[in-house]
Amino acid sequence: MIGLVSSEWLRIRSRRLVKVLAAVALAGIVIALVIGAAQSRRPSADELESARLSAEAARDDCIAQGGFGAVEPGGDVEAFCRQEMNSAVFLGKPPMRLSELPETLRGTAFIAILVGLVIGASAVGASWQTGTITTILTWEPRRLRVAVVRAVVVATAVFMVVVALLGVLILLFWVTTSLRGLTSISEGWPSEVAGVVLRVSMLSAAASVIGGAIAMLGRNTAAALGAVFVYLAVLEGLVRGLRPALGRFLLGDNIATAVIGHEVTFGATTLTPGRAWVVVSIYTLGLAALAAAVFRVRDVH
Amino acid sequence: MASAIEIESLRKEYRSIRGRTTVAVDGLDLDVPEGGVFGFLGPNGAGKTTTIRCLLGLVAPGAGRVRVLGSEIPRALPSVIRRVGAIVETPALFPRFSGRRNLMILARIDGIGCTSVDAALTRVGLADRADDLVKTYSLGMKQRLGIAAALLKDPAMLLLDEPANGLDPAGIVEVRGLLRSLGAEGRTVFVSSHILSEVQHTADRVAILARGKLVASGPVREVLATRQGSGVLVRLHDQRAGLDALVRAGFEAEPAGTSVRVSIAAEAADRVSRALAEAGLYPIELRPDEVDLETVFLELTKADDVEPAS
Ligand SMILES: Nc1ncnc2c1ncn2[C@@H]1O[C@H](COP(=O)(O)OP(=O)(O)OP(=O)(O)O)[C@@H](O)[C@H]1O
Ligand SMILES: [Mg+2]
Repeated sequence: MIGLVSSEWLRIRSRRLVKVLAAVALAGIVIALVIGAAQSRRPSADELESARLSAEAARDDCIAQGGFGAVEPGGDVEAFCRQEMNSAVFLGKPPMRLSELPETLRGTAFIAILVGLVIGASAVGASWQTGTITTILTWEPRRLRVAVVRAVVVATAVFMVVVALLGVLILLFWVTTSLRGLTSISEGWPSEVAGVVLRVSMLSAAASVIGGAIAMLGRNTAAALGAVFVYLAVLEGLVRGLRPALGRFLLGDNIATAVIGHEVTFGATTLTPGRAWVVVSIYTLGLAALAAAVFRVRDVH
Repeated sequence: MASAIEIESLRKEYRSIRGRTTVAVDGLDLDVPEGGVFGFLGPNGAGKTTTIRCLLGLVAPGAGRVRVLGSEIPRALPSVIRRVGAIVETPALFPRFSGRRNLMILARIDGIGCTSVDAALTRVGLADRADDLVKTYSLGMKQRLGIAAALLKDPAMLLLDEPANGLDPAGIVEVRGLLRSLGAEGRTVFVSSHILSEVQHTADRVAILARGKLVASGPVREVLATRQGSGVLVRLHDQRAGLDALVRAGFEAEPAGTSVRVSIAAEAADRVSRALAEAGLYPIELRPDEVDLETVFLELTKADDVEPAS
């Protein structure tokens, strides 16, 4: 078992696709932050002061007018006005702010999950396409073991790669805002950042398991990726249109809710993060179990 | 003698989506004794690879029993597999990893160290290309790497599906030597091949398969004897005169190519010589008429010899 884990680990580490995707993602992060830094400028003390004064005035105005009617009846008007009428709004050219990091991190979720899906699908698909699954089974014939170990190793690798990349993003974001932006953060910021990183990484790992499971069923990488895209783009779209009541079981919406981390309303349905995680786990584990069961009895050519 | 492989009434059919069935192995019985080289022969599509896949638990037989090194397959496969090295069809390797990396990935599964990897690479003559990507290897080099992978476990049994495929003449001679030495070390080398002259010189025993059925098996000499009427071939400048003289002297003789074939034990060839000399004829060549494996194979696997499967 340890031997198999060590072998799988060596294999995933050696895969060029993993390195290429990680390098491309890293380059993307650096380029985006360089552009951001070039466009960001730390405001002078005078500018900050005048923005603060404008914000205060606007806030008082907002409270006086009951939130301009934008607050639902019974809502906390003062909290709303405090949040919306902050000094950032009144700075001519808004600088990069460390406090916006969680939003940026959430924005990377789509790409990170995609990367997980591709790595997972290809880690399994490539074995079928090159026939190396035959070779591996002549070393370890317990197929369930082979499947489980590969899923765990690939998911762990994806998790680590995504955590590392987001770590780099956080570091560079902090450097950029220290040099050319604003670094003030709220009290809950560190735990929010940690939470988003954890969620995005876990969802990417789950996506790698889903990609691997479908590649195992289809014995092919491209087929697996195609199937996922057809499902997300076509099938879920149809369900959303024709049977809105089933909307809360759609994988795409639940992943989005899990990333965002608070209640989200899609049309008629409202999804909560807790339920979203349950749904995503069921999809992931269900597909993995199905793939493993099929692999156990299937002839290998 | 203990059996390394026992196959009883093995049957495997493949079903296509359109419902067509192909019988790949049709009630095969086979017994391979321990130690030595066993040649597993048959024309394309005879079911050799399918049989090897059944031995390795890669495909599930429709019927029949398979035992490898005394253990039931697939139940006992996890314990048996450590003592079996295999190549199925062309060796399937990771094309984007180096040869060494390929072997490392497999070696780690059984906790085999780098020294064994290097030794295996050296044994097949790949040591100086070990760090090149496998996709840059020639067919023969890939085949050698496959053999190296099969040797890595220091196995008691090797299942090699056409290991000489794609090798150059020097490589074929090398593999022949390798198989012989592996067999002589007491390992069981079960090897399928189309190069019959090779098998004839390497294998101790052979089995011939046609359309999923066994058509001959046993020690090479015995299998050859099934079709070998004893005789000698005589070549003369004047074939016609020689044939007449021999028939007149009471021999059973017939033209065979440019020679004359005389049905007589090879040890009694001196009588042929004398009869010809008495007629004033002198042979250019006189040799025993040996049937080779190729001839036997072609006769045994002729389409109408076996009832069609499926
Ligand atoms: N995956 C498969 N699906 C359907 N039919 C198959 C499959 N694999 C093999 N067959 C069929 O089974 C029969 C035996 O094939 P097999 O590969 O065992 O032959 P072989 O003796 O190894 O031939 P070769 O000398 O060409 O390698 C053939 O008729 C083949 O078409
Ligand atoms: Mg074959």
